[in-house]
Amino acid sequence: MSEPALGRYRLLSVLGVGSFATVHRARDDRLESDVVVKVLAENHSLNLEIRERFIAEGRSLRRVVSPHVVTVHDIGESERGQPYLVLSLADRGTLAARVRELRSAGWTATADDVLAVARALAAALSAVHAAQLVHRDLSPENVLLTSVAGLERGDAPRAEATGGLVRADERLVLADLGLCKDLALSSGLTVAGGTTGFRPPEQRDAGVVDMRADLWALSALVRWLAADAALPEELAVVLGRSLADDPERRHPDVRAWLTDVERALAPQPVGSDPGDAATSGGRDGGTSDDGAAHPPVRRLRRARVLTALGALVLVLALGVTVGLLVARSSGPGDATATARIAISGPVQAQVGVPVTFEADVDGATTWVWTLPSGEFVPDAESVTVTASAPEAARVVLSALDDAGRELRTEHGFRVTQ
Amino acid sequence: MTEHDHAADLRRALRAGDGLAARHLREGVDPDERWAVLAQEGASGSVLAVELLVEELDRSGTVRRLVRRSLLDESAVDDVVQDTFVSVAGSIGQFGGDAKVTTWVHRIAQRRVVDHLRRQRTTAELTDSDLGPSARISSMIAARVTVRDAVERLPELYREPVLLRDLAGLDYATIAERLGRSVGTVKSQIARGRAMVAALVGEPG
Repeated sequence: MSEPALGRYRLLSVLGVGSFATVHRARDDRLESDVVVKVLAENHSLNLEIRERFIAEGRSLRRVVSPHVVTVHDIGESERGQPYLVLSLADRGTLAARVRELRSAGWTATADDVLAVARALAAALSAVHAAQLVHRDLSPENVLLTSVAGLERGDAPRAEATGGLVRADERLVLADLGLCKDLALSSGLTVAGGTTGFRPPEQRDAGVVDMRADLWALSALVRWLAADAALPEELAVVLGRSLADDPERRHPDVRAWLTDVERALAPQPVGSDPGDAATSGGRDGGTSDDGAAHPPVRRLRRARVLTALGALVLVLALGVTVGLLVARSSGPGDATATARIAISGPVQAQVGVPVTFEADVDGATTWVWTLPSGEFVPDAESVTVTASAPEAARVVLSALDDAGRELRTEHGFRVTQ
Repeated sequence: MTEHDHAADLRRALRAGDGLAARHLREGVDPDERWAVLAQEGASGSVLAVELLVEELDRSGTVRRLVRRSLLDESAVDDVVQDTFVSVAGSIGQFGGDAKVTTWVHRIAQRRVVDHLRRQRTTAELTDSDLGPSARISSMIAARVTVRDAVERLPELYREPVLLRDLAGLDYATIAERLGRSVGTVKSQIARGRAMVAALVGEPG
């Protein structure tokens, strides 16, 4: 055979080479579609820490269900034992490239452009957070544009089409999680995770990162998008809140953030402040609300989509609740009436020497680790951490019991040279 | 207070080689402590303790879950799980009494995964030393007298399927049919039986 292949995927061209993985455009002949195949580098495939995380990322990402997050179609292993992920292909480049191109022609963002991006990414992050994950590497390079070719009729109305930034036949898609950056961070190869300029302060150092880190990055991205645009000043205030250094001062979740952004860009007439259940529904519908420029029209449309979105709203509200599992920094204890969690492991570690912590989980069905790198590891019985600098560090274990009550415990350890 | 007593009772039953009592008593000991007792007694020479430990590692799916974190192919997972059992049983003498059993097993499982990945890469003809612990025990059972003695000492439940597999060379399905057991049961019994042979002959992973 002439072309290289991985499993049933014919590799067509290399889209990118990172320090940990190579990304190929590939052809799935069975489904007759083009996909992206991301292969873990051969030299890292024997490193179990990296290998496990690569596979875990595929499995985690698979749990994220959103038209605005890249989809995992398959996971496999090459003959040489390299794991690979098969992902949906976004064929219209990155948001960064699109904005660059438009700006060179004198474009600045309109309120509709900003709303289209804010809603799509809010929907994407809600789904990521609902799966108890933190993206950690939201940046214009990681937001992709893909053509939808009018095929997906059940999808949201093509409302984010504004004729400007996101075209009528396009959709915004959040690219895969920040795995490689995470890896680089915890293996000490680079100083921090995330992309410069879009990296929340808590990600600059080792520390516990939760979903509010994504809110910071999301705000930074929208601020970048809105640069030099003639937009209400209120927007800067809203973004400023979630750009606070202290995560406690940011919006509590994506939903609250989006509500404020929408209010800033399309103020409601005084006296018609929306009742909670109803309008938060329209907002949580994310991309379904088209953010038309004229408030009266907009409100009518919103009323109409409300009923249709009832079910979706419920699901998203639920998602946000689960997302809170990782959002709180204080509150729940390590036991409820039916469950108990604890972490066992060393209280001392040496730089560069892996240490393992184990979850003692009793009565909880699902749990998630927060590592000193800020990385989240769902449902693992143990995690292995290699510190890159001497400091006080901690691992955190959060869980839900059968009744959905939250548990949390942490284990501190001192890293020495 | 009774928890500690149960553990002490379990230890006594293991030392007396009383499998029936040990199986009954272990139910009263909480898992962490139970595994610790089994591993410690195994390290001081109780083959019964090793048998029970491997049985629990198998039944609880602990090793399988660990292996599945880094391997995708189910037959590879099967192989490495077996390799891990054999290594655990064979190197039980090196279990440090203070270590946590799951941590110790985790490290062994990881080494077996890496071994598997290395073997997968070498396209060269496999030599004896290139085989995984489980395959090596399997071929030893077929070839060596001392090991054959160890097999003879296996509880009947394990002895039959191991002999049919490693000496007669039958496949799992045929063995299952002949013994009137399910394929899953037979696979599991062969895995545990090989691990016990490893414990008896002190074959480290």
